[in-house]
Amino acid sequence: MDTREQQIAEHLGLVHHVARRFRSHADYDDLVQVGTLGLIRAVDNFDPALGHSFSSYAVPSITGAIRHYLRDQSASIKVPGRLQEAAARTSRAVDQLTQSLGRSPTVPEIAQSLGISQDQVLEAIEANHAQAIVSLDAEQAPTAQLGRTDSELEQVETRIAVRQALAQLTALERAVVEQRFYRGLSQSQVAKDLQISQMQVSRISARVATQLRDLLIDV
Amino acid sequence: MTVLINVPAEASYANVLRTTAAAMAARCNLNYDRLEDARLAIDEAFAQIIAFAQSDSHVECSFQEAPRDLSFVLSCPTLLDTPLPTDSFSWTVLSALADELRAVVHDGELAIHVRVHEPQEVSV
Repeated sequence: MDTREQQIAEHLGLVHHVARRFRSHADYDDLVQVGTLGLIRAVDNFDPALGHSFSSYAVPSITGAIRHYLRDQSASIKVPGRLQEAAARTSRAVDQLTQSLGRSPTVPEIAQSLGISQDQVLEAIEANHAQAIVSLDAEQAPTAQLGRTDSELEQVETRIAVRQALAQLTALERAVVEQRFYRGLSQSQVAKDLQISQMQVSRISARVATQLRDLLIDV
Repeated sequence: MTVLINVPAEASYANVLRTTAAAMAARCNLNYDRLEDARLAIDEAFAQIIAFAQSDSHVECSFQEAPRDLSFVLSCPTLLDTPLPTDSFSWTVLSALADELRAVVHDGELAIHVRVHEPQEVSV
């Protein structure tokens, strides 16, 4: 057995443990299968150089794969009741907003995009978890779903790449990026804070944006 | 703000805590992923704590809300007089979901502290 297989085999217990948490929502064997794919992805993408333990990398990958699968399932219900429909719409909204915002959305954001109240979103989230769906959709063979790209997992890779890219910046560049893009300060505020000219802030912002873009194209 | 909830130490009450955790996470304005993490984390923590709870006891859960930051402490009377084992799958999963995690056994009480928050992302 090579190390990859070994690592997968060693951590299958984790998959079973997580799958058990969701077993009221779907067929246990299906959950284990999907979770195992999350594990395999984690094994393939894990970079020990980043200093995290494997399990802290694998668990989000496994739970992410399972949740994604459950969300897909709820989105596939054809003629649902009122609440189930809200649940399915919420699932889709989460996926769409995650795409468009480039991060996971908040409950108010989900509520706003669907034109429903925050309480209704919470109800929908509960409904998504509560429904034990038996798929009668025979055409939807499990393999068809298993082969899909998991957008959440791809984002993990992007996040890691961004983190590495930011690590290569100079202290001044990083300060500008932090203040401009994470604290949301205006160019003039940043200039004042860092005691540099507004022109410099603008130049550094543009330079860093280009650098990051170049680095990320290679991902 | 602090929210307190007290449930019997029985597995069937996990859903009460999950639902409350989700509602609290939404109050904190945590994003969807972190909300889901909080739900799963409280489930794990509750499973851990009832495994070591004294029979017929109650679990007290105290939630502490802050902007994009949810902490909760589950506590109950326990027969444990040694530290909570941390080599279980459950603990591994819990530590991956939580940003801060610790279990304290003191004076016949077991408490599990969990914190889920949104980090200042990419503060390298």
